[in-house]
Amino acid sequence: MEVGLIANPEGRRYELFCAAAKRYSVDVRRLSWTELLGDPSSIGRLGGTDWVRIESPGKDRLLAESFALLGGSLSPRMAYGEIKNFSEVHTGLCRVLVDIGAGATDFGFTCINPPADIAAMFDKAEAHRRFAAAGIPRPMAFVAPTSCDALQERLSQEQCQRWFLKPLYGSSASGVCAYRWHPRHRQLIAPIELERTADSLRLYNTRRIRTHTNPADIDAILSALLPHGMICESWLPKATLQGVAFDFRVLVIAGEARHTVLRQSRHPMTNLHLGSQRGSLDSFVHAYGESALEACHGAAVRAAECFPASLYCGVDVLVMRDGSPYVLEANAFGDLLPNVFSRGQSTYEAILESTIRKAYAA
Amino acid sequence: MGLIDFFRNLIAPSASVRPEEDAEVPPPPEAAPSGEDSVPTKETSVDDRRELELADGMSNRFWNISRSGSALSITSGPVGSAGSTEKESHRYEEKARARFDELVAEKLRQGYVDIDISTLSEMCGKAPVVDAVSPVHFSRQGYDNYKHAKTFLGFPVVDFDPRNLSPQDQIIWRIRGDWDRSAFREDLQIFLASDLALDVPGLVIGCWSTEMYDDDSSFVVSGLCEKADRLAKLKGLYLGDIVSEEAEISWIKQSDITPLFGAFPKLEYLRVRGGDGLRLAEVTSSIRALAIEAGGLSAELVQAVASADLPRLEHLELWLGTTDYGGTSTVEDLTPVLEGCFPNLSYLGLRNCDYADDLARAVAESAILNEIKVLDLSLGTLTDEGGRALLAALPGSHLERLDLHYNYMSHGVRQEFSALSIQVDVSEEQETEDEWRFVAVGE
Repeated sequence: MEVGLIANPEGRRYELFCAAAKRYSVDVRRLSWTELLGDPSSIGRLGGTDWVRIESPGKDRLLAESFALLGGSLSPRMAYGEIKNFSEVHTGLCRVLVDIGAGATDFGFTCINPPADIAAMFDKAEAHRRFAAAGIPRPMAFVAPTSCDALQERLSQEQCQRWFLKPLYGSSASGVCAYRWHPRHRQLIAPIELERTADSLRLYNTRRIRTHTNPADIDAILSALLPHGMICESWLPKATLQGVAFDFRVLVIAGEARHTVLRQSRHPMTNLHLGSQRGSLDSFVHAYGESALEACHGAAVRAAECFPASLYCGVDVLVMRDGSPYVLEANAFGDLLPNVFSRGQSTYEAILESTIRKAYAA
Repeated sequence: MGLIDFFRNLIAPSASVRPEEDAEVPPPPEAAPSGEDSVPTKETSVDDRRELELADGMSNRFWNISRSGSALSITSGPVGSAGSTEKESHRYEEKARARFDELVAEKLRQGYVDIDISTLSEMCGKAPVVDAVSPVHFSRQGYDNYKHAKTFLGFPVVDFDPRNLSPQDQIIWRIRGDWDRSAFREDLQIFLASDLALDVPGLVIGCWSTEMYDDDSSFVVSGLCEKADRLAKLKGLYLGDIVSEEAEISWIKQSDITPLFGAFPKLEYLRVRGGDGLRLAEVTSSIRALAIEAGGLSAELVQAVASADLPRLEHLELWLGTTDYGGTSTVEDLTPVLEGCFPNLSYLGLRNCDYADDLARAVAESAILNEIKVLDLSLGTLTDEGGRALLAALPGSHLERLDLHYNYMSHGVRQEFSALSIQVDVSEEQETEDEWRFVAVGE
């Protein structure tokens, strides 16, 4: 058994997957994103592998700049952690994904998660359309206008005054804003830092979530992000455990909800790299009952079914106070959940086993 | 290796394959240094588990115990930290079970309470907890405006559910709505009309509207006062257990709370969150503990408190705040308090204050240090100046505990405090940047 792996050869994702492959005696044929970008024909090296796994390009700045350049950005250079070029990076990534898809046809390999699905999961508007069409419970959402004034105009027509604004093509909570407004107050909570110089304004990702209340800062942030495309979702009150709000990341593999992480945060964003804590599933079941967990798993499975050709996907599920689940998003690379086990398997082990079973069944 | 071999391995694990779940599983690896997996979780089978917390105003610590068979694991430490873990192995499971119960009982005796009490079903099977706390322990240690109150008056707080009106002992109900759909008004009415109201020693009022910036608390105050005869045993009220996600503390619109004192003559504990619109006329009350949390308190309100006739008051906690959020008080407004207008005062908390140095100097020059046991000037902008004034005044005072956590004092001055023989908290020192100092709770 040999799996082709398109990945960034530095970093935990790569190491963890290779460790899992080794444990299951699966050979890995590696192709780095950098090689692939430098030489598109290198995709041919994956010919003859049984399966190909496309791993996240990760946080590599040069890679992101390359994607931005490929996506048509006129200023692809980015400072470390800078929030920039969301749409261009996405366009570039999609172009490479298309190339991978073509390579799969030409060289006869199959992707565990097809490139087209990955592109769709990375597009929050497309994912929202699919969820809505499938009748999956979701916060009310619409694609945001691309200017601040138009956004405020649109929001003033809505009853709700609390919104999440998420970049259509972002990930890891980069650029995600929790926004609430009222004629007397405006507040934007986001892992975003502003840097103003005489002639420029830059946004940076920060692990420390900031509350912005200065209207000029809020407008500056939104004016920088909106043109890249954002989705506007109603900000629903999450249920709490031990007084702290939580949501779930559910890894769905082969139509089954497997690894489930309860993420708790005092902030509106529960991403674990932003300092959220993993909570105990036992206390959730104790408080809300086994059926509530089943409902969350059910919602996650239905969300994953919106990407039917994909073997796995990490679904974020919000739980309301009455225990009812709402699907927030599907993450193409949502399987990095170290130290979480399902039936004794890590996420990568479970994905590998399912890949093999799928191959065997075919 | 081929597919078939691979499958054989899956079915009959070889050395290269991870053991199955039910086998002896080694402990999970230590937490990775950073990133997604800061808290490792492993689905090992836990037979028994209890999570307790002590938040008595002196300290804020957690204590978790779990039992897997005959092995006990106890993790404890300050809330917010990862804590440290101790393990105990016993030869027999029975012994471990008895030890588990013994340790839990000991902690409950020390005043720890179960933390996972946000819903009623979480309460099931949990032993009742301690008696009402003494007023001196009424304060909230931190400024955690991200979490709802877990306990009030020493009892766990549970959200009221109008579909379940069966009486529950040893808990305090919280009535609150959500911001997207609030049934607060209906829930409050149902609660007050039900038999539940007749026996409750305390009540917690949470988010009362979907429009917290528009709707002030006057309808809550009048609603409670009108039904005061139904709340005949009410000793404690928390008006505004509202976390930042529901409404920032400075957005909460309060109202005139004077009627509460008249309507509830038995009221002993009152905690209010939010200073905007908060008013108080002349009052006489036998209240024992009064706490007002705010981003800013008006001079009028502070004066009204300082001139109130509260002969039994033991605990007074005011979050004075900053001018940015409506704080207009000065040291002069507090003069009557520092001169001892409350003869029974034991705890004085003048917290979250942006003139903390002036305040510390005035406190140091007054006689109040000989009257009270606990002085709390935490969450403010205290620097070395105020710190030194206090240090000079402390010898010979009757103070037992001094809380100065969240401060801008230098290492040297903090050291001097730590060397004192009384209990002192000078933690959470803030970096002074560009001469801009902040109180802990604004916005």
